[in-house]
Amino acid sequence: MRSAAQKTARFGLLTALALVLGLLDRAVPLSALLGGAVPGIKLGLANTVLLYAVFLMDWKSAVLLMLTKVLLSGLLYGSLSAVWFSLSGGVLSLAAMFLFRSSPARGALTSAFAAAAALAVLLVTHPRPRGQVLLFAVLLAAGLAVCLVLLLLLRRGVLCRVQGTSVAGAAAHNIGQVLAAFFIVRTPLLLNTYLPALVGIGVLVGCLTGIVTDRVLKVLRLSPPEKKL
Amino acid sequence: MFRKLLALLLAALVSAVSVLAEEAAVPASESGEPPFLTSVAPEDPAAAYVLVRMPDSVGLLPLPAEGEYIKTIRQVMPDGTEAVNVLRLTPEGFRMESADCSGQDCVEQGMVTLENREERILWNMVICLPHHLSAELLTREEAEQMLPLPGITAAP
Repeated sequence: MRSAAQKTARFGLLTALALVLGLLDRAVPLSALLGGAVPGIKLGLANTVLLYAVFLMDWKSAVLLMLTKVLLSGLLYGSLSAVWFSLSGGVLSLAAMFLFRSSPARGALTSAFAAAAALAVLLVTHPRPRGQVLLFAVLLAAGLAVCLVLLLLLRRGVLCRVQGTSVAGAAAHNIGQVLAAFFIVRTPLLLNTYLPALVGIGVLVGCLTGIVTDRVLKVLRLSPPEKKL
Repeated sequence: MFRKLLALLLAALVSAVSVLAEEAAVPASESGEPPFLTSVAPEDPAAAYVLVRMPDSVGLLPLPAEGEYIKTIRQVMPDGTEAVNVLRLTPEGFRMESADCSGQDCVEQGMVTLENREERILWNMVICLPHHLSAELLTREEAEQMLPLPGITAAP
């Protein structure tokens, strides 16, 4: 059992790590690479820390970690108004990760459904996709394929359990951000394309975050406790 | 220990909320630049318009028949900082020329024209999320249908 001092130290380390990863996020210009199509898109590397917290800490500490990270990164890196987007994304992401903590396969399945629904919405409003819309339709299809492969591998027991949870968490995070943006912009038509685009990116990035967390946990020789779940 | 940290976080969040609750000031027009319109005049020959939405006001800008012009929008954000966005309007469409937001996503969103509206994820809009500003390209019919917007004052 950890002492209070050890817990405090660990919490501080994780917070600092999350903040530094938020800084590292900016080194990859994802928005520019996607042709400026979707504002507010980030790699979300700090989700690896939240993923660790979800699996290896109690829920109160995980929530506190998320709140601290959102507030401090908002103060350090962005404007105060950016905090609302981060908060909305963080709350939904944490909720999704806790929801699928014990059943990552269900997380992968739900993400697959979300990607399929997003692709359907995109194609219904744009039957002949061109330009940016075509790009994101392809990305969504890729995300859907990734989720299905993930589901297969999880069922076979090949992959570490964090993968399914990470994908669901990242997708939920981006959904949260779009909802927050919608309150500012208030154009329902935007939900037809902006939301599916971010879900697509979220699923793909969530897979990446899951891989990173998986490797880190293996190197640290920690495994998500089977018995606690 | 966690309880104290939680109390501190709550206090910080409450103060942040109170700062955000203040209204943004209505922006003033730059000299030499055309002012915002409030509605589509029947004698105005423009075929398309840019509708700019800010937190407390709305403004309409016509696309020029020839040549280009810029429109500078200055706002004061709730936390006291100044927010500057510069739009460039051409006969084909408009784009965000420059802005002083930290992300620069709005500048990267590129040009919006009547032709590429269908292809863009953001459709006919350029959005600057940190500055709570959006600009959308509307045809004359769409602009006439949308204005006047209830409950919002026009930007000067």
